[in-house]
Amino acid sequence: MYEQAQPELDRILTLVKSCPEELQAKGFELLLHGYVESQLHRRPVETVKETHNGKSGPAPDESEDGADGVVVPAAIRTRFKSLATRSKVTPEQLADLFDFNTDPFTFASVTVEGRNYYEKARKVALLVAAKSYLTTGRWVADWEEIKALCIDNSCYDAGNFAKAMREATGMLFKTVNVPTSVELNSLGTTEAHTLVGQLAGNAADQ
Amino acid sequence: MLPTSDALESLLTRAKQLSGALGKRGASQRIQPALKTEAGAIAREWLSVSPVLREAAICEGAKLDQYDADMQGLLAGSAVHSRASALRKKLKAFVEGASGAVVVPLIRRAGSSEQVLARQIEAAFTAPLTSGEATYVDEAARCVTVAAYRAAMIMLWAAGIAHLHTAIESRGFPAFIKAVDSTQTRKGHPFSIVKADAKVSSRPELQRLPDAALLVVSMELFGYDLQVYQELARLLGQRNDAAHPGQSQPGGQDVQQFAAKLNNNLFTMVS
Repeated sequence: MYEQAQPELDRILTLVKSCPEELQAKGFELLLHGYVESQLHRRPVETVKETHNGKSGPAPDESEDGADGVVVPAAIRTRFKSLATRSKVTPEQLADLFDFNTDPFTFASVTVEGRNYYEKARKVALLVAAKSYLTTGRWVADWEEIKALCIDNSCYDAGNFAKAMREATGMLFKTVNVPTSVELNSLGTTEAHTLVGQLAGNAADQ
Repeated sequence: MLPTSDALESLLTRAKQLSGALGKRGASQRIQPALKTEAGAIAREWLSVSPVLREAAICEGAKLDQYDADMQGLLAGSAVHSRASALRKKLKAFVEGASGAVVVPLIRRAGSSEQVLARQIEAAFTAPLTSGEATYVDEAARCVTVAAYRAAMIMLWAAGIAHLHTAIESRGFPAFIKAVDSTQTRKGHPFSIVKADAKVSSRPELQRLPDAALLVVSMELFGYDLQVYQELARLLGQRNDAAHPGQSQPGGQDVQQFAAKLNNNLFTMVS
């Protein structure tokens, strides 16, 4: 479970050093606890992969959890499988993109890359629309959720955010309703599948 | 109700523009009336949203205290002779810090999965809602923000029954009684659950009728088929599970689907 712990431990120590001295011990404890917790949450997926690859034991019951060991809410299971198939990733890889331990589920730590703010913000919109597809069946991204994920990805430019979305109307987006939602067109949906595939592949590699 | 992040960003932009305009006037007391009006408007707008932000507990209280004090000073200063530099000073902390201290927390809050789910539930109702129905849907949306999923289902069902009652009233009670008569001529389940006392002629009597019987009579009255009825009966079952002690533990997505099915099978079918 801790084969790759050294780089994480180094990162934790670096972060701890940036804390005031009297808080360093507590900070170390909290960060280490967080890391251990994150590893514990990853175990079911890894266990299933090992069992499956080694072909020992029965195959996971897909009808029950839909993602080979990861508990996907029953209400979204069908669309989850469909998204995994169309994004050309396994359900386990796709599950790594989301945190199903919370209800409603959220994105796991996701890093969206792009050449500039505009490109990154639009990719974030595609990603949020994919999450919305899981929950509602519609490729419509919530405006505020796009903004929040943009802040997490350091690509929120308040003055140009709406412009970045509007200018992609016809390219990726069918409609941009400021300040409520962004609906993808067919090209946007295809791009969203590609992006989900890339990010899910990366998330699984980490 | 919390302001949208766009509204707050717009206020911050106006404050920055005002600060820039005041900066050009240095320490002069000769300030254009339009600038003073804008200063007063910005201060008033902030002071109206500040209590809501404080109640939501998403921003640091000390920052809100500072902005409140500054804005009260700005409001007072905008009504009397003041130096441009004095008014600008009152805006300084807000202009420099509100983005990180207020706007970002507000965006994070509005973009949280609970708030997104609440909006999805409201958006699931594509059919027009009366104000009474909208009140129930709004209450359901607020329930999901605090993970009260069972309570949300009960509120959504209440919206559905309110819709049904209104639709029956608008068709008229004679038509409803005729539908009861037709239903009673049919044999077997579910028609057999409609009793003779279902022939009502007022809203209070209608409110006493069991929801299960209403759904059956409404098949006749509004012309939806057995499949739609069965879907509605399943939703009623979910609602009853939510309202009574038991092992049912609906999640957020269950509430979202409940809302979507209620819209598709009741709100769009019955009018």
